[in-house]
Amino acid sequence: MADPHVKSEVKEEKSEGIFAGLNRDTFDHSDPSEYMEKFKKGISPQLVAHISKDKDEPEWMLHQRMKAYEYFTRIPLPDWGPSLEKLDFDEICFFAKAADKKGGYDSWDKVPAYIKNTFDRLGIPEAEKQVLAGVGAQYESEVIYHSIEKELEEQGVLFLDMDVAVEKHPELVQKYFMKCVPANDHKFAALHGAVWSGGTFLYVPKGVKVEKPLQAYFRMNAMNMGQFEHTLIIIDDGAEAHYIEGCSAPKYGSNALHAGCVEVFVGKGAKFRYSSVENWSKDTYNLNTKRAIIEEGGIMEWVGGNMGSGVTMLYPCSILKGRNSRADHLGIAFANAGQTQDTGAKIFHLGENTSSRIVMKSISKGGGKSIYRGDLRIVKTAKNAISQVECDALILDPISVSDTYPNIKVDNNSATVNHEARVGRLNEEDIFYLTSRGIPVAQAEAMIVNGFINPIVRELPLEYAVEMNRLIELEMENL
Amino acid sequence: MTALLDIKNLEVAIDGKAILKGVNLTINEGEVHTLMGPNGSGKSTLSNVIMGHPKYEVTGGDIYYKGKSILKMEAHERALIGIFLAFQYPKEIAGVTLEEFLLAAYRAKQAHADPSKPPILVFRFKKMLKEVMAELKMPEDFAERFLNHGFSGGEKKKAEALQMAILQPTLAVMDETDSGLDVDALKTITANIDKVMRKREKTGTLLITHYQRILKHLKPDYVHVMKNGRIVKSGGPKLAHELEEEGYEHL
Amino acid sequence: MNQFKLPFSIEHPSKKDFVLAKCYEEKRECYKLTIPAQKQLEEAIYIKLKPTANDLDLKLVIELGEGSSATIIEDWSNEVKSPTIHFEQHIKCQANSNLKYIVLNCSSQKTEMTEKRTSDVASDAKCHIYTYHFGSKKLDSQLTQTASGRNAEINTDIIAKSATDQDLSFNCEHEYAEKQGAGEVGMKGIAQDKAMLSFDGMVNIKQTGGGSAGYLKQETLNLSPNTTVRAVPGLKIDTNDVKAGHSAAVRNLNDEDLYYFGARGIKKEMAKKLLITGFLGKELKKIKEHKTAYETIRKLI
Repeated sequence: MADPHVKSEVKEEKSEGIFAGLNRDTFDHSDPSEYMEKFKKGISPQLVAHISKDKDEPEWMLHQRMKAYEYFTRIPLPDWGPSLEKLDFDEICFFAKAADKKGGYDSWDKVPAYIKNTFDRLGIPEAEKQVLAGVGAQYESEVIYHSIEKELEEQGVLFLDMDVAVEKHPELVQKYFMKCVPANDHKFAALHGAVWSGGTFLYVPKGVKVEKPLQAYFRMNAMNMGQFEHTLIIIDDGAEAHYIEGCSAPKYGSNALHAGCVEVFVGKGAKFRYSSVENWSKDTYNLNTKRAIIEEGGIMEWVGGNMGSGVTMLYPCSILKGRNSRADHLGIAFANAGQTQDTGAKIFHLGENTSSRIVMKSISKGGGKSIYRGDLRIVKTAKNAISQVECDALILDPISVSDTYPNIKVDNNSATVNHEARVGRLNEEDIFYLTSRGIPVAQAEAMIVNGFINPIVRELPLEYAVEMNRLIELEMENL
Repeated sequence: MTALLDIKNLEVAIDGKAILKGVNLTINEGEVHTLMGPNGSGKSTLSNVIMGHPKYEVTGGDIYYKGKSILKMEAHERALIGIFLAFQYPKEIAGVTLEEFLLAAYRAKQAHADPSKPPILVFRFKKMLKEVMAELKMPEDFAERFLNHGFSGGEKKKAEALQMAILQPTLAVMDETDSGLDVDALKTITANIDKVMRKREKTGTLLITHYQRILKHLKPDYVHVMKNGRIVKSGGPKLAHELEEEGYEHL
Repeated sequence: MNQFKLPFSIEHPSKKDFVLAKCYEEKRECYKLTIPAQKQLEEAIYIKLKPTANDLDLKLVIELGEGSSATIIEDWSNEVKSPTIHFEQHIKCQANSNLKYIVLNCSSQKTEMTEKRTSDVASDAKCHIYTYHFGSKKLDSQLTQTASGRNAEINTDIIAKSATDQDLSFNCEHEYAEKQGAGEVGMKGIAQDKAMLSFDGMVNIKQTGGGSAGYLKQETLNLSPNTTVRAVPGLKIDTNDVKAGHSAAVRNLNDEDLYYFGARGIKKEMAKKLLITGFLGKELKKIKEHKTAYETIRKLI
């Protein structure tokens, strides 16, 4: 038998080449943004119309945007969860372009140098060469780079800038766009529906299995930016794919807003994994909506790490519509000083024999607040549904906070639900053992924290697992 | 003479996947049969189908017990007519004590045999239980523990043997009863099987095992080898020794 | 003892061991039961609600003096047929006292009841509340225990059965406000027929509650296809030197378990009965010494 252990070590060395240089500055660093002078702050119907016109959109999309805007003005802010008091919509720039190239460039060489530098620092082009099947890169409101392996294109896989998809595949987009997350779902879905820009469109045709991951990277650069990318993913019957999303923004000391929307349609017997490492700056409100509808026998996997943002509200949702469908939610949240990580999972079991598993790990430090919020529903038709939830929280000091609010509703007596949560601190004996071998305390703590999140991190492709571990170390150093 | 157990061309599937593909096996009164074979060959499936596990679907053939088909009977009905399965992995059930469980089982059997008889009194039952437990070298508090809950592997096997001794079945199917036992425990349990089954008249035993060693303590009359859902070879006790030396591969 | 007309009777061999007083409160009938400091009561105090068909609006305050200990059983029999019941209770356990409080509610299944129970448990004191709830058509129960002194121990066991068209909702919170508190909330329920059963639990360890250990466990057996079961096990932890955890499980009887019983000749109905009694078995054992209460409940399962 091959020895997987040895193999993975070799791979790790290579991968460290990509992300070895990461440090806090890598993410916090901002580039000049003179282009911002052209773009105004605040939101209005005129802005919504302007965005649509700028993109040369069809009538139905403009109509949909205006309707969403109307919902936005009517729907109140959520009356639960972290405070959004300091989020001032008038101070946010909702739409900005750094380069004017619809659909993005198809080669990194053509991307303007000042933008390319940012992505170089983040290791994206290098990762593309080594491990990815396709990459999309968004800077402010527009996608600036997009590419996909030729073979996949020939098999009919569509991996496009969302704006381009609206233009080139209107029937497909109109059929699915905001059907999974309707604009009247909540205030930020409405906002998103009005001002969305950029993002990814992925269509994998029946039976096509995309082996290597596809990635999109979203970068906000300017001050007070708002990013509203739309990700629409359709995995047709029997198809398989893995998509990775990375996000970051520099730190300015004034608010930025990210209200993206991810819609995933997993067809019969299809399998899809959505991995994300969200590392927005700590001035960012990350109010993201992610939802998947899974048909018969389909499998949806959400793997997510939330490291950045001042306030995060993110609850990936799986609607298990078809019988025998399955959803796995794996997540990590790290709340450091001044951060509130309000994350969790929503799962609706509708079909027979559906199953779900949630594993969440959170770490609170320096007064940070991490919250797990779950909503698990098993309706009458979901016979023999099974759900298992595990939440583990580490609190690293006496001033930090961890809350758990799972909501479980079962309308069906053939269902089996198990929920478990544990909260505790680092084990002093473990740290002592490591330090007694000469390891400094801070490093020993970081090692143990990395061990704590390991069951989830190892689900990420190796290169991103390394990035995640590095991010954890950075947070541990950062007091 | 009618056979005690007669399995004819039995075909069984689980979730649409065929596991038994035409099994034939006849056990007459007074016989001890051993069923051997590699992992996944269908041995445990056969034992559960004899007992009437609802999960398995019989897709062909039949099982006759004393000349009558039992396929339509539920598990508890089969138990009441004298079929006993010693489970490979007995269920752990917190909250119900072994004693409560056995009392309910004993009373059910008693009511089936003679509905006019009043149920056994608790203290009588306790006394009987205590005697059997002493024979099996079980500590007294064993019966007060929750059914198999937190039992070691050996304790679970002993608890199964205890149930058999109390319920006195006519046909006993022992599914890997010897696995996970040390030599002493193995001796105690086989002596018990010998006493409860072989020394009583008109009984039959089907012993499913991986190892030869139990056969030293409990001489079988017949040995069968199962592979891929079929019995591929049958013979006398010698066959077991051959298997020990040559394995299943050549069959 | 009976200068005023009580809505309940009190049974105890020695009525000198405690004091019952009617206290003044607007609108509501309010009674206060006090166990003097250092008094150790051997026998349980039995508070039995009197049969009635009138609405009830009642408050009961229980106070255990320093170093005292007592067991109190509060019994709502099925002769309590009030259309509505509002019940409020406050328990005060002074330092080093020890209270075991058993609520036995088999009131009529036509009653709509709201109850609000709170406790305040001082340093080194213990308060263990057991609620066995089988009655009421509709119930809204709020129970909050607070460990307000060092080393206080608070425990709550809620055992409920919601059947026919009953709608029972329990909300239980343990709050640890001082150092080294400890305790566990256990919520166990059976739902069948068209019933609703909701368990809302919360373990709240304050920043001042360092060194505390608080757990919450919810388990529900869901026996019929037309029930609605809700479980919300919450944790609010504001400091790191804690041991805290919760678990929630909703399930039906296990088919494999039923098969095991069947393989021993036990019929399904009998097997179910044994398994259900087994499900509540551990909780029942806790009150085995109180024969009347124990027998009443066994019959109801």
